[in-house]
Amino acid sequence: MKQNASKLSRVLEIVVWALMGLTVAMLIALPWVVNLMMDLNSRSADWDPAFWEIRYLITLGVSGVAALIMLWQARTLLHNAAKGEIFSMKTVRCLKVFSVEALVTSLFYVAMLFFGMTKFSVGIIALAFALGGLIAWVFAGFFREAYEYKQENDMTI
Amino acid sequence: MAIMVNLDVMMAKRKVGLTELSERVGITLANLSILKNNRAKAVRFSTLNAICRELNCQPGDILEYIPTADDGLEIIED
Repeated sequence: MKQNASKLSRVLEIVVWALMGLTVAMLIALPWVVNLMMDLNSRSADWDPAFWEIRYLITLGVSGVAALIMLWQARTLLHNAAKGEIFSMKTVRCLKVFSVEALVTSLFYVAMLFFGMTKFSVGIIALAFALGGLIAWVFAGFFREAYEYKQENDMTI
Repeated sequence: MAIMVNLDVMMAKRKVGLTELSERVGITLANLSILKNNRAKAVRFSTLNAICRELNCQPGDILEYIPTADDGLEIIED
């Protein structure tokens, strides 16, 4: 079972690398992505291109960078799991950084609600990031305790 | 930590080397070294049992309590 978990961690690490590649590609192609979104959404008569262009740029740019940071933490976590070092301080740090990043992203989306992005989906995204961040923080505490138990066990002869 | 492990003293008395003792006791050389150098956090009774059997000694011959200031005791020197 341990070997299967290790293999799965390696496979997931590759998936996370692929997602990171996609995120970087999206960040590089951001101006074109924003133009595409502008073209898709410019239907209503009271559509203000300048207003939405800035907001799309900021939202997608910040989301992309936040996603990249979170994916990097996930990659580190999976790499530790594949090496058999899941209960370590590196994992605890990864989860804490992930948690802080998710909470900051959530706050950013809440702020965007007050700057014109008043769609219900933006609120849901903010809530999802906040929840994810809090769960990651709780898991960081669990992993820290597990690490301390492991240290105790490793130093028991 | 106030519990000192005097394994090296007993090993010298019985003329047993670390590698030989680790094989006889059934623990790795690395773990026995950790124990000998007072870096272990705990010892299993089974390990203590095996060491005492192989070195033909009592647990008190290997383990010694030396009170320290951390134990909240006042150390009075004679």
